[in-house]
Amino acid sequence: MIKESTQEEACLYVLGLLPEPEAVAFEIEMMQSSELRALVAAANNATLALAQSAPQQVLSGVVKKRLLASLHKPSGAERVVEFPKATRLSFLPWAIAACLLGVLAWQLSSHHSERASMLAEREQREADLQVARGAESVIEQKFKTARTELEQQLEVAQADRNSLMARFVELEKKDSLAQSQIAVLGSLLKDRPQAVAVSVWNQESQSGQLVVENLPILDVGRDYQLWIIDPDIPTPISAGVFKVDIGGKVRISFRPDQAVQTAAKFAVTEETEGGVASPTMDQMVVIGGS
Amino acid sequence: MPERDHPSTLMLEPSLLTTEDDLFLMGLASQGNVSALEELYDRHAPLMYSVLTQKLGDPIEAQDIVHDVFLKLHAKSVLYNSALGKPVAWLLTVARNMAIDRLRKRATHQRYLQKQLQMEEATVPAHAGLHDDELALLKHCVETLPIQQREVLDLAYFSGLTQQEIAEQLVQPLGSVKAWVRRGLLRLKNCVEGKL
Repeated sequence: MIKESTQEEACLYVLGLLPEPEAVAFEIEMMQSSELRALVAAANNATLALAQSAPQQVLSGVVKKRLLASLHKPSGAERVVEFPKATRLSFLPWAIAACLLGVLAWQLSSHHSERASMLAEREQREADLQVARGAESVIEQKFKTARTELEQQLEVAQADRNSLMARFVELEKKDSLAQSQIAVLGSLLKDRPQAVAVSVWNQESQSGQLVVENLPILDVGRDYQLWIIDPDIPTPISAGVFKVDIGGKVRISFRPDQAVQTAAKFAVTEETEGGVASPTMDQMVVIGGS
Repeated sequence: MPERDHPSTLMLEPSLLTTEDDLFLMGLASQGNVSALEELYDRHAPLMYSVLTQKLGDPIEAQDIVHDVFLKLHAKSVLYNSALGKPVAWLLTVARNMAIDRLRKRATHQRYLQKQLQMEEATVPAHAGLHDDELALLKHCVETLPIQQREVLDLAYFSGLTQQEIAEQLVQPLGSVKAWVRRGLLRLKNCVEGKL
């Protein structure tokens, strides 16, 4: 006779309600009791009545075809390989791997994006540089052309200037000659009547030139002195001293000590070397005026 | 159990199939005979599918388990012990255990409870290769159970709930639930044995 508690265990076992440790203990007990095995078998068979109470469902023929297809697979392929049961933290390595993969993908994406952006920016800068270089080349070419034109214009202007300057000098010379006062100084020497001097005086520049011929050569310690006679000034104005060469000739430029208002006459006297403040009248050798 | 030869192909009349034939087919199927397995499938898969659909509330999952049970039988990864019941009862137990594993993994017992409400209106019995008079008797055995015993057996058989969960579901002490399981199943056993 099976105890009531064992019967209860048998019923719970048949319905799958016995917890794992108790189920194992019950199976051990069952192996030792044919009477208990018979009870379990009868209870199992009774569950068919419960199974029959389930609403009838139509099983698709696809399931049988799938089963037969599975059975006809090559050896080894038909084995049902079950995944190991997941523990509570078994997802952790996959989660970490997924996170790392995500981070890596994000970094790669970011890197590619940044690199593409930098390449695009670099290409843009190179294009800008090419444009700038092109513009610079055009500007440089324009500058060279302009410079050449300016140089040519400068050369022309320089030539014009030189020409104008030459013309100006020529005109000035002509003007100077036009403004010059020429005086021929005649000899007062009885023994040398051929002595002559020509004075060219420029009033504006207060300077002049004197050309002398046939004057006698003076003794040592003696000089010829040129005088300008201005009617507005009481005494003649000294214009310098000079000597003549062996032929009695000399050509000098002179500039008086003081301003001359009117150069009425020019005279040359023989004086002591270095000249004197006022002329020695009886030693006058030539005189003349315009 | 009579000794029989194990032919490679079967030519059996469906109407002649009995529990002994099931035993014979199980022996052949477990040795890799596809025809025997196919015969077992034709005979018991529909009932298994109905029970599993009732249990899981999901036809696709029910189909998967039907497929897997017969595949395991063919691959000898489950062993039948004739001392513990009829082949069909054993096949259903294997299927139920697989379904319970799935239910407990996904923890969707609520789906069963919703299904129970719908079940009251749709009760077309499956046959499992049994004759109409046999089906009528099995139905009678279930219907004559006291309501508490039937309720607790339905929950135990179809829901995949544990003892404690059934007690909480029914708002009853655990001891009462265990007692109703014992009394209900033994009453059902006696009924089936006496009538069939």
